Amino acid sequence: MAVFDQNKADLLSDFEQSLKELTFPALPVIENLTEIARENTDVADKILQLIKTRIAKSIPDHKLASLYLFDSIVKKIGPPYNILVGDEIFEIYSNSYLLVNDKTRQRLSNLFETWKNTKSKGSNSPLFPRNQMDKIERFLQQANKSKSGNEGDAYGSGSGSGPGSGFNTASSTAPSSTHTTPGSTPSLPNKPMLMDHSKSTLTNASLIKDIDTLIPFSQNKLRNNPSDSKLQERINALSKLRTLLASQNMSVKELQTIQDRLRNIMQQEFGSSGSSTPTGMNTIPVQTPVPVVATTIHSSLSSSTSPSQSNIANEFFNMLIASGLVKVDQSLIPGSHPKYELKFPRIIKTGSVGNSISSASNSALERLLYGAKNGLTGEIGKTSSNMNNINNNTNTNTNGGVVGFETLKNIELNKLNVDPKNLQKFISSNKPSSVSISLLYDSKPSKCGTCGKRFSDDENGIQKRRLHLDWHFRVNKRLSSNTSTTGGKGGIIQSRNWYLDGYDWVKFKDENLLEYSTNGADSANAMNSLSLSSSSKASTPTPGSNSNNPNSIDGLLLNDGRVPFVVIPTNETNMINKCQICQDQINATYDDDSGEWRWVNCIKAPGEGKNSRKIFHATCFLEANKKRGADGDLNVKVKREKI
Amino acid sequence: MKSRRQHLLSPFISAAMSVIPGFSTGVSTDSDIVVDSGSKKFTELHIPSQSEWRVEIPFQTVLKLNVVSGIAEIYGTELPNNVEMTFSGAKISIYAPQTESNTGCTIKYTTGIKKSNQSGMSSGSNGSENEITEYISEEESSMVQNINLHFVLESIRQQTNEGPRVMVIGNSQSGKTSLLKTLAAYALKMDRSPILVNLNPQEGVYSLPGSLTATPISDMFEVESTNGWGNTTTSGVTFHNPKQPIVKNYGFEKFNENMDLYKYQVSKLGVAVMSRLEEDAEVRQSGVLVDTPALTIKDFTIIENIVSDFEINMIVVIGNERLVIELRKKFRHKVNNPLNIVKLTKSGGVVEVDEAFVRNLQQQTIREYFYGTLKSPLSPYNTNIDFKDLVIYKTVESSEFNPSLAFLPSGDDFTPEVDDSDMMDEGNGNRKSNEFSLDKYYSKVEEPDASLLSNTILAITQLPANDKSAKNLMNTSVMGYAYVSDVDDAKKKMRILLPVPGTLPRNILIVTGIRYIE
Ligand SMILES: [Zn+2]
Ligand SMILES: [Zn+2]
Repeated sequence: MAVFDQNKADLLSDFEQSLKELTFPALPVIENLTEIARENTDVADKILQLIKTRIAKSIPDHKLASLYLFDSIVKKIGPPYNILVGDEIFEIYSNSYLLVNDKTRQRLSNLFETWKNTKSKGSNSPLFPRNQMDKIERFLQQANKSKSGNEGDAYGSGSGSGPGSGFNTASSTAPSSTHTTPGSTPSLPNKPMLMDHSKSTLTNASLIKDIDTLIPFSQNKLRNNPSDSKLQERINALSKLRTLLASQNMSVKELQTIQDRLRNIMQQEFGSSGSSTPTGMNTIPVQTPVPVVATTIHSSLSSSTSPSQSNIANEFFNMLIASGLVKVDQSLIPGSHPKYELKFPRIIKTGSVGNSISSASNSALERLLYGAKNGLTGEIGKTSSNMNNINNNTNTNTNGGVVGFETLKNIELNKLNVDPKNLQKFISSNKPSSVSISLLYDSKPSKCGTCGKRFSDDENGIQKRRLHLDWHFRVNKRLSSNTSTTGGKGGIIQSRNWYLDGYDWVKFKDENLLEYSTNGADSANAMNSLSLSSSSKASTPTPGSNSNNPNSIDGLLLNDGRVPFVVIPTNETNMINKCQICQDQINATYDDDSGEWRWVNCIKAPGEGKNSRKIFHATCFLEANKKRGADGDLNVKVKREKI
Repeated sequence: MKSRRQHLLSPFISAAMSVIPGFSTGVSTDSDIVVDSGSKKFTELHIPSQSEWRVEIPFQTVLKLNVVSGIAEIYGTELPNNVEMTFSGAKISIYAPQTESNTGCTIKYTTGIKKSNQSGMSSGSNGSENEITEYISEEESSMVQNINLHFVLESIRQQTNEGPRVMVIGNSQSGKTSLLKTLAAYALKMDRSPILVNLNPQEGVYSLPGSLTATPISDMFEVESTNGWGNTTTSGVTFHNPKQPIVKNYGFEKFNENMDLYKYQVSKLGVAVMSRLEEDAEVRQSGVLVDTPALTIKDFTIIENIVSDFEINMIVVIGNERLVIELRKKFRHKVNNPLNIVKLTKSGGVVEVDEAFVRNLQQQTIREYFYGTLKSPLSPYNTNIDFKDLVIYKTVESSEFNPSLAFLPSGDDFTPEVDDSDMMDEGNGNRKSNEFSLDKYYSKVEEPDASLLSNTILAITQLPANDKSAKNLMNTSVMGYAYVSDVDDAKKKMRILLPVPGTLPRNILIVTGIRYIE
């Protein structure tokens, strides 16, 4: 019994996932989901609910796809779906219509026309109740009237949604001010309703004022619906904008760009709640949006990622779109791929908060791009959460309200009240509360998509998470570059290190092993230089033990993880060589992969010719160089000489 | 509520068999695993909240699994969601912890056979030994006590500036190691990094069998690797953060094969660990978790030694009421220095492991030391070496040193004549060092040959060349291990496999009683 229920639960959660991935009307996906709906009519109500939620909550540009799916299901399957939706059809339809751009509206109009002529499958009754259809009819008439009334308006030109403007024009007819009461016909505006159209009034301060109106509204909504992560993201995006506005002087163009983001957020805010708009929004229709930095992402993104990853990627994109960092332009031909542009706010120079956010965002985006291009799936999901955390960070800075994990843990441990005199009793009879158990899980809500490690949402956790993701990224890049250059698994040439001796182990700090180590970050930037491996770097040199520390002989490697070597010229007859520094004999090693003979762990003396026999142990060279340096800096790096 | 199911394997056939270049030893590595991409049939399985899915995967079999939804953990280490994980030669328990929603977790899995074993299985097998065995078991009570114990340890960490130093005692296969893994993994989730001490030489923890180790657990366990431990540092990058153990040589897999040496090495490891705690505030605050071989009250001297060497302040006894009572009686005197003795009931889920499985695991551990894991493969290095360049010792078995002792019950009435004060005193150890005798521990091998060395594991000591001090030999730790793949008695040479490329960096070696067959 339980298994049956679970199967259904899984099915629904799969369905929900697929819905999230349905950002444009992809025929195979719609057909597939329709089939699933057909086979699972026992949970029709739940499936319908998922679709309705998706239609209501997705961003305007994605609504059409789920509406098409909805259409496909009610037409091809009919009962029980069209019956169940019944009296809600007007609300679903009109709410969506209000939020989409003109092009999509035209499609929705066409869709409505088809409904008029469709019968409920297997019967002769209409697809939807008569009264609902009539309501939609009247609604569309009014909408068209108000639209044609606006057409002569100087600001009506925003209706064009050609490449480069699709995202911003979504609000050009400004339906967001519409007062919508569920179940009743909304009165569409007869005049353009957002005030203060003149560009001269558009200032930082006026936009901040708008944000200040929006934030409490959104926060209030969040209180009623604390699990709505989209809402949280929106608040974060707003806070971020406010920070930027408060600290920067901006050009009119920049202000316009920001204002457009704001309008978009506003649309979603009121689109999903159906409540009224706060007044006082500065609004200018923008004819030419001004991306400060524009990079075209090829639409191969969605096809190059695996399904589970692309889902996360899409969520990430939704969020970026919502925050205005990514501009979407989608031609609404079914099956066509949307085009994305990145828009980095150039702005930020002062204000450390804004600065760190910006650079982090950029690197997140860069990583995303990198991942998309190289098929490094897995990175995407993590950058997504990374981004999310950055936003949360902003939120924390603005509102100052996140309880740190450490605090949470201490509160909970104190509550547990472990009696040190009777541990046995506690161990045998305590019934751990879900709160205390959640210390092990949800109290650190961000879980790494690659390794499962959890991170808290407090500043410490955010920082660690960022380093962790960077580290995964570096490791994956290195592992994959090692693999690709030599074509196959054999390309990764690395070996286990020797263990530390007692003295070094006692002095060792494990932070040098971890992604939080700054050494790791350094080495990522210095792929072509030599440095000591982490173990010997961390071991403290001791008088006497220094010269024969085994790790300083064998721990030396190039920063991309390979052991340095000198290829022996093919015309060389004497395979035995010696180190110019320590005079030790160096024997040749044959490398099966390359078919080369090599002097391993060696580098050629700087400035020596191709056939020179003058070589050093890499370690000897590093040691010698270190001694030459004024201080005995352990982290001294030597440029790898051209060989 | 146990239902046992057997799964038949789909006969996978691999198009391409990948062999690590440069090593024609015929060693099978994880990259030989058949990965069937086309017809992979996944079985989906729901694990109810607070239940455990126990699965036994034979060594020739590969299990690939994905956590589809919910939270799944293996001995406290959470698995990533929607990431394919690979297991082979393992008995694992995937637990669905109690969460707010209490919906458990859903996994999907598929099985295959390692390519290298498909042809080699000639012994008239019908394949049944390659089938996985799996069942779901309700595990609420034992997991609750583990969580409670974790909270006890974490409150100690919170309230004092010295973390708890815990020793776990129990019969063989009572779940000691699983408990410690869970406690370490949970501690890690509290942002701690306790030192995990392994005093059970049967298992190599971040090392080979025959060793005693201490390892700060500063990052997650790598559940897919042999025994679920993971990597130590390498010359390059690894998929997971590596660990950095200190390794002491013991050389046998049973603690009572040379109790003098065992106790000696335990005490030296204790010195290293206590010194590390002095130096490293983070580790000190996190505490120490000590795993032990199957000790009984007869081994009280060993228990007492461990308690004093690691300044243990909590003993956790698994599933042995009588031992709890005896220990409380014997440790009554420790009132000024409180020693808590608590007991846990044995988890019903402890899997019985037979001798053959233990052997195979040991072999797999050794292979992993040289060749790495699937996610982080390593390249070892073959080299030839002359006996004349080496100083070779071997570990003495108690029975060799004094045959009469071999017939005593383990640990009973056998107190080694070791002057502890002298041994602990490294700084001015000259006082008695001339009198110090190696006899009970190591003997020098004057004429190394194939009969002694073939297929053995050599411990490479940290000692500088030509260090003749017996004391230093006793106090050194292990720098690494070499495997003797071939011995040429006529030429007085041997071929060894080293983890690190290059020449053998040290020439003082100890022959262990651990063997490996490639
Ligand atoms: Zn991770
Ligand atoms: Zn040299």
